[in-house]
Amino acid sequence: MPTLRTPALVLRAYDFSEADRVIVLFTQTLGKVKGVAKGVRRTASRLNGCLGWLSRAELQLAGRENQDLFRITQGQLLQSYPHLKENLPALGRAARMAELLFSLTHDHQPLPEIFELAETSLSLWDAGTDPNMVGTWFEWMFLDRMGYRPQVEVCQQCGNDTEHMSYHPETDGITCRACRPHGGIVLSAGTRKMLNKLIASHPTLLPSLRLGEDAQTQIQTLLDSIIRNHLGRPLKSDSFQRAVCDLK
Amino acid sequence: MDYFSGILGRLIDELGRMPGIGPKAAQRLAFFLLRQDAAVVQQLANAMLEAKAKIRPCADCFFLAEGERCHICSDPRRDARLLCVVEDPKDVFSMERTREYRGLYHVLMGTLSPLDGIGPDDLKIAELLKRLQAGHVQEVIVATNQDVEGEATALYLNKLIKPLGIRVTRLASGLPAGGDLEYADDITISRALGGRRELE
Ligand SMILES: [Zn+2]
Ligand SMILES: [Zn+2]
Repeated sequence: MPTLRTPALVLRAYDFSEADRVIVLFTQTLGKVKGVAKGVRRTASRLNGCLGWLSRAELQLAGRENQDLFRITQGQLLQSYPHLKENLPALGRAARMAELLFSLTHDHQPLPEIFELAETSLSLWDAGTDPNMVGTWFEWMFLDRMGYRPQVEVCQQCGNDTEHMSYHPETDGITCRACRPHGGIVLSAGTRKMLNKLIASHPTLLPSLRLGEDAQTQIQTLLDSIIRNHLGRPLKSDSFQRAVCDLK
Repeated sequence: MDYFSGILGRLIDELGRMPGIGPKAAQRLAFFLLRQDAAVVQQLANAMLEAKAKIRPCADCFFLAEGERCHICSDPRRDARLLCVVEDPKDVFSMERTREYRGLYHVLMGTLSPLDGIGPDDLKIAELLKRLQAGHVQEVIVATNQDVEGEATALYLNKLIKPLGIRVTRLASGLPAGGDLEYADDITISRALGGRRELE
């Protein structure tokens, strides 16, 4: 059986039988794939250490490229992000990331750029960067790279750029108050400036950016709305993230 | 797999739904039952129905109980100053097997599991805090699995319990296979219990 090696992030794991686990991976070369890890539930298998949730490992997968379920035959842990896992607000944001990768990307859809975004986000969280800043950056960049990011520069009806604009999920765009006085998610000029800055900024600059409370709330509402539109439901990780977001 | 239809097929289907029972094992069990006296099969059916009808979660700790309270909560010799928090009723059996732990339990009925949509409100956490506020407990030992979700649950509980002035400890690491209590042997669990450390 052919094998391939690829760096991979562990998105989630299921108990499969008494001894095996199925792991959903986000790989650098193949995008999202599933793999079975034989015997890891019963024995102190070396694979165990590589397959913890939100770990990054170099894995050997056996199976043809378009295989539904690979067999994970070998692995080497590259990074387990231990500080991230001790920081509940960061873990809440990372859980959202895992769910987005899990539920909005397709199996066998190579997305190397998004793999890099995810890897960078995990490292930033692990290094103690503001969890919300990193999470907001990841989600906005993710929507951009998936082709789901609405333009937030000018009114989609009249083309003007005014101080107060609102985003409307049903038209997936922003309008000014003259064109549509009511409804939608308010996005102030400052918030829209921040959204554009996020797209343009190199991740190394994220620790120096600050999200004001208003911008944070507006952007979060916007992200949740776009995600719900594409997913058809809110994120399941919401309840966990909300419970831990204020814990220090 | 449709060599078996009718009554026998249905029995095999029902048996095959049980954990760890594949189609082959389900067939073996079905043929075994058919070979037994009717009385033996009746006993089995009665035991299953009676267990289902009479076993309920304990009103205090959510472990399995035949009455209002489980046999552990009702035992006056247990040390009520110690409370061990586990994910699942199965984990109580794993801890009890060691014969070393003499305190009480609290079963969360799961673990924080963000991608399954399981947050704090879906677990028996409010009930745990209510028990702790009664004031007898001096140490809470968090024995959730040693995977990311289990550790996150432990951290979360620590944040809630610490302010009550109660010591929160965690089993020492070293459990095998993702730190699942179910698969750890008695000696390993005893050692993990002995080496428990206080959470910061
Ligand atoms: Zn307009
Ligand atoms: Zn009880």
